[in-house]
Amino acid sequence: MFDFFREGLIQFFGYSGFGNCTWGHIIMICVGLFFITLGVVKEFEPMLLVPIGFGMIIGNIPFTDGLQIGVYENGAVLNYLYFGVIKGFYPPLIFLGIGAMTDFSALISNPKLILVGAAAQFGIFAAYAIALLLGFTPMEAGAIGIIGGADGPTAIFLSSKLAPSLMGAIAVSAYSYMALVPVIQPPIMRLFTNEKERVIRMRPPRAVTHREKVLFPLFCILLTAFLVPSGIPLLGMLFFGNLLKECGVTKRLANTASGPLIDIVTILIGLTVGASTQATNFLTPKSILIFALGAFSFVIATATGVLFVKFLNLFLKEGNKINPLIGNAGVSAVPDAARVSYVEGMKFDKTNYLLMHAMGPNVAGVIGSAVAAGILLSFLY
Amino acid sequence: MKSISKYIILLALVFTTGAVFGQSVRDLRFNEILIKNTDNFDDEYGRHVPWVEIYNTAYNSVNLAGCFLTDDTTGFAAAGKKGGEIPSHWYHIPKTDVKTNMPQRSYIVFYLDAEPLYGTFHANFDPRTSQTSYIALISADGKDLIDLMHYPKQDLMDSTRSFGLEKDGITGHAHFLDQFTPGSSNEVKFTVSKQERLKTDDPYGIGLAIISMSVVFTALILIFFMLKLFGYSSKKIAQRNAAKNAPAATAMAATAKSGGDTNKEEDTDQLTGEEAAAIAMALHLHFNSMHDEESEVITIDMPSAHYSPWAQKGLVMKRTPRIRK
Repeated sequence: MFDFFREGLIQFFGYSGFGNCTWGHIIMICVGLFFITLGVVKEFEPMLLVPIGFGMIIGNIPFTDGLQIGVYENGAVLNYLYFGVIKGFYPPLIFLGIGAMTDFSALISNPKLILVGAAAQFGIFAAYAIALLLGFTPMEAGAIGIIGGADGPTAIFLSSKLAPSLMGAIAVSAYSYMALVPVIQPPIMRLFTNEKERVIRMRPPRAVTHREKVLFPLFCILLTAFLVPSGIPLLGMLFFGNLLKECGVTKRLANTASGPLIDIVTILIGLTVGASTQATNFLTPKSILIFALGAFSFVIATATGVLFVKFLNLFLKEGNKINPLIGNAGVSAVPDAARVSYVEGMKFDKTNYLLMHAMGPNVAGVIGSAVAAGILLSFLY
Repeated sequence: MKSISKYIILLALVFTTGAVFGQSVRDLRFNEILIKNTDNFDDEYGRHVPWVEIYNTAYNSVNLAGCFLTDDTTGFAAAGKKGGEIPSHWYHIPKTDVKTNMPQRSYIVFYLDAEPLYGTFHANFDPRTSQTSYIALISADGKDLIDLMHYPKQDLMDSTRSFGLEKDGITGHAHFLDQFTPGSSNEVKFTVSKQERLKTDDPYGIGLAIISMSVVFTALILIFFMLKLFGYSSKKIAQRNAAKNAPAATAMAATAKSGGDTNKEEDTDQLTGEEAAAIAMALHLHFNSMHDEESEVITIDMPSAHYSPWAQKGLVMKRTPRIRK
């Protein structure tokens, strides 16, 4: 009788998390807890870091294989939820919501700001080149480079196609750096600007008519999708969402896309991406390299955005010049990057409000990173 | 008349539905055939026997269970008539084997060895002893000839090469194939993958970076010009509207001028934009009963802090992260 209990307890212990725990699991659970702390205490991207952090904890609780529990096990509930990440249909749905939330007025009123959004995409391709040098395959390098776009959904979409095995590391890296935008970008912005440039006052934007706002998504999808058809899933949903918002007759649809729908998808994408970072797959030297390349890509993107504004200013008349502090907003971390421009601008001139000006390159960055993802997909997939 | 229309629509729907179901089986094509099999593809018993490959051209799965394979279509016309019997010499593909369900754009191989007892994929005829030089696939009800492939029998008996379609599923261009491809595409291409090509042609990624940045800039420059056009046309429309309203404005100005001192007083009483907005807001809230008791104060006074409308837009966004020092 005693032997039966003893064996039963040993067997139970073998099935429990304690019996299967490794140092890797503990490290990843700690990383998950750190993410939740960053989200809750520091309020760094809580909408993303809290679900990802909790997903990391769920994904790294050790269990015996074959019980259909883990995110990588066929038939598991988490595996079904992860399907949207693997097949890449969560990111376009998030883009639908982003489109329905974004006001492109700042861009429409000052079109030259769109070029800043294009210049900031250089970070993607610089990281691609460095990743190639470090021995990654072209497909892996492309997936890693997109971290520089500072766009989580785009990073997940592209890595699910080009390098599914690296998707967990890429997604976590992208979202981490997006959360750290207020920390990473300001030193780079200050490094490449001088006192005089930081206090440049930009002309107030003109009023944008309803007709322009409605025509904008229609023309944009035609112009960009014909050029880069592989970007249709992201660009199509982005501009469709924006049309729902701006046309004025589909308010309910726009509200759903920008509210409940994007919230649901954000929960699912955050949780499952977090759960996909199982220690066995995640704690590898490659993941560390991906994090390093992601940071490099982000820094280059910010720097090229700022430098490009300075370059543009060489050709602009006095009064029309652009404050280079909005150059960082060319990466598509909306609206955090724009807010960083605003906060930095206020530090040097309390009455210089850069927020709406920075929203121009910021939303241009969303378009630019989606176009860049489409190009990488067409070249590498 | 209305009821007749209903019946016509119903019939059309029934036929359309039938066509949709039929379309799946009709998408099957003979793709490749080999008769003289000396050391080629062998069956599950290790025998080298003639084989034929069928290709599913559809983008959905197709189950060919119940269909017929034959080298002799005699009796097809009779089978197609009402009450007609299916000829016994046709090979009836069993309905019990799940392997007869072909995924989209897939291939399946039948052994033509006249040994139907050997399994589902062993037909009951052998082209080497057949009187004809074709092979046919007939639908489960025996009424539709799904596909029929003619082949140069004598040449195939003498040669060890296979005969098939140049492009998978596209009939009309059948010839002797350079390679045997049972269970896979006839279009054998020795192409270098995109990755391999990039590795050799652009090992440092500079070429891709230049091309990609050019495309990104092109796409956004196109949008830039479009937005410029928007701005230009908006300006034109505004000017046109202003010109249209000009006579009325001139008349009002003239009236104001002739009104003398009393109107001067009225001018000073004119509302500013901010005052009008505040009043409109208050009226809107009042008439829509959105807030009976306001917790906030609506005022036209300037706030002590220097908020601009832009800064206030920032307030509706996420709060700036607090950094504890």
